[in-house]
Amino acid sequence: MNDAGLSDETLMARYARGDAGAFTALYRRHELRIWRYLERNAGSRATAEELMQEVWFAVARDAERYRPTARFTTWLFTIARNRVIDAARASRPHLSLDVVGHEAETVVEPLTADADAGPAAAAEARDQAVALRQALARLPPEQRDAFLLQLEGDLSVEEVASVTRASFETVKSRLRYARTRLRELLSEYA
Amino acid sequence: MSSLPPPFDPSDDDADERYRRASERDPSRPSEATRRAVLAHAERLAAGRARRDARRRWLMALLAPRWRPAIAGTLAAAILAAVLIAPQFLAPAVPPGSQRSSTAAPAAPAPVESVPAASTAVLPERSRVAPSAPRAPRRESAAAQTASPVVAGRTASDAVTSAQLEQRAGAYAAGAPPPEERLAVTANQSAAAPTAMAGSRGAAAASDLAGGPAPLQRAAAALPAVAGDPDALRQAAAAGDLAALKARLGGAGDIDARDALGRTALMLATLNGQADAVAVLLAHGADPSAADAQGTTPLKAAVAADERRIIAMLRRYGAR
Repeated sequence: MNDAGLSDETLMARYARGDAGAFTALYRRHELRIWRYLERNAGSRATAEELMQEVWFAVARDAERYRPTARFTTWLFTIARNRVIDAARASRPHLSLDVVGHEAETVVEPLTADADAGPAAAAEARDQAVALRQALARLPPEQRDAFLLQLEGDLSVEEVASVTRASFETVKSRLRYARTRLRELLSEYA
Repeated sequence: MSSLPPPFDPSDDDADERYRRASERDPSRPSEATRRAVLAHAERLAAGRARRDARRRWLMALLAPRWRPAIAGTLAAAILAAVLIAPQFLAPAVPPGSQRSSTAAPAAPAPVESVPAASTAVLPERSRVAPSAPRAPRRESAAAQTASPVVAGRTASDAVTSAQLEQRAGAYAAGAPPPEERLAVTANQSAAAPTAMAGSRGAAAASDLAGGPAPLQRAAAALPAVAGDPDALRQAAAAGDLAALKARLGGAGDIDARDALGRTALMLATLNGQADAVAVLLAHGADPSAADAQGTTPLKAAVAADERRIIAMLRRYGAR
């Protein structure tokens, strides 16, 4: 069955009734966005792999309890954000949650270059990815979180405010600061 | 940083565009193993749901109004048959003066006399069992717990490291048998194992293994001792992939190896409700009380998730 045209919510309802293909379609649709959110917030590939499994296991497990009162992506990114916070608490319980992701500044892992691209293009892509991670790591965590939720989760300011339990104005402010800083940091790679 | 956010800048979209461009070129992806584990897990859950829904639909169809007369008729017929047939099996003892009694052997004892005869036929059976397999006492003394009687039932291949010895000593001090000894009991499958295990919890665990469910026995007996690639082991445990789990348990490694969050394979299996994986891991000597970095033990996690089968298994293995 072709699931490409179905909404996330429909796919979730199908999966809750036992259609494994619906879950596969959902996973493929959101895999990369969730991965980027987790990896760029956690700052470590190994942690991101574990969080990735946990997030999708939770989606699979709670599919029957899911009610489409909000968009699926809002629910999905709420799960992802909670897992990131749990991981930060577990790995560094003596520190504030504000430090989440700061290790990304130093832990930038070598990336696998695209085999189809030439060596120069691959190297440039790699440099750009490293610069992006470093730029994100330099953002204050709440700004980075809001920015990634909006850009990767495609959430509105209201939805980001709901997920992060912050006010609308606070989120707007965080997003503005994050964009200003990122524009500076990424300018040389434009 | 000033207390006021920067003013609206029309080039905000430019920042988003730069991010998207750089992001698109980032080749980082989740590993294929993660993808497979997630999809396999989801598929198993979906299969379970589909089966359950099919049963529910069948039941609903059965209870549909058009079938109700047929069901009621069948039930009524069954009850009528039971009422008619049952008296033949529940007929009272024939009085001694009846015709049937006169044709019976004259030496046949009266019903009242047959009761002691039956009792004597049963009692020796019980008395034969009692001396050969004495029931382990519910509570052993501390000295009896610290002595390791299972050593007698172990083989030379059960060599342990000093760390394992310390772990076992700790487990005995806490009143629970260490994992290796549970494994030894499982492997030997000896009838003496339950009585050799000191401590009520140890005896309970051993008797559960000796007389427990056949799948658990078969899984435990068929598998070699401990360990394998810890990442793959945890992944298989989390996904409930018993074939992969068994394969990983064949190598050399730590069955209680932890991930970045301090979780063991047993903890991951518990968190994901994989009761069969929990059974296999416990049978292979996984530490039932190994807490994660937050101090959550598998038992706490299972109780929180209301995984009753896992709770029962963990308690049998002395989990705290």
